[in-house]
Amino acid sequence: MHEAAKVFLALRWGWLDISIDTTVLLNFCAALFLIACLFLIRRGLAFQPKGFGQNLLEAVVEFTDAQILRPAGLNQAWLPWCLSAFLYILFTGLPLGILGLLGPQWGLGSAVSNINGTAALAVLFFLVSLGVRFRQHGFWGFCQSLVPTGVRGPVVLLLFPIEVVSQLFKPFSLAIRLFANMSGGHLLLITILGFTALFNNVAVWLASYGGAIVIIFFELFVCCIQAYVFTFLGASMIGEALNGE
Amino acid sequence: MDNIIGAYLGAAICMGLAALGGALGIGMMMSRLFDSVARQPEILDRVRPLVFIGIAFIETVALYGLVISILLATK
Repeated sequence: MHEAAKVFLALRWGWLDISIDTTVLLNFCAALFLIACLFLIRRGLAFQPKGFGQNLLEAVVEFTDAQILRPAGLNQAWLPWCLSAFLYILFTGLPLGILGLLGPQWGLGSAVSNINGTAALAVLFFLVSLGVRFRQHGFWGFCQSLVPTGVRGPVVLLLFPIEVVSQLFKPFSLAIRLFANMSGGHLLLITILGFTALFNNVAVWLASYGGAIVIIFFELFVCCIQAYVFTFLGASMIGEALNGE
Repeated sequence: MDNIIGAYLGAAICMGLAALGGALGIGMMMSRLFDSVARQPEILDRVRPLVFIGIAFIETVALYGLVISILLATK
């Protein structure tokens, strides 16, 4: 169960281990696949789109604009950033999520079913929100924006640490939410398919394979929802930094 | 030996309570949703994104319990 993934290129940067192993390679391939799909759609752009690609992409872009950027209060300049995050989670979570069954053994699996991958995405959103807060309000405004408006006196001393902690906790909860949802589905799948190893009954085999198929479909659904929720909460973090509550 | 018994017991109780809280929360939310959509069916498309966001928030807290339970069970 704990066989190490095959390392293709061992790299270190200080104490950080950034070697290229199977998981990293698979996710690079997923990202290149995403870029290739979008490039192909871009090449055949038309004002009256016919066929599958451009219609789907337009639906996704409109969805991102209406349901992710508008509620967060961001204008369309943020569309590339939010769309990148959304499509990356979809494109790695959906196909590679099925491979995540075998994940711990051979290093297969998506970036989003690994705490490191989701932590990287959450840290990126957090750094962007910090940078936006600095650029928008300046240094003193940065501290001021952490205190809710209309609060005076010693209550500020009470509220400021609470606000700081809650802001610092947001990327944690983003990362853990995505990771636990993705890998929880894999655990459930492994548990249900593990029943076939315990019993030698045909009925148990059929039931567990049937249950596994249902759970794979449910996992695909959960991946789409979690991609939306991750991007929505990350965008609302950035919007809150930009507009100050 | 006692540590292992305690860890497994803690893992099971933790996950059970987390699942209980999550299921109660989602059940209450969906029941209010059905009531409000039955009262005003055209509100469904405006409320649907909020439903998914609510489910994600509630599930997150239940999944904190899962994470702790896994940490305990593999200790």
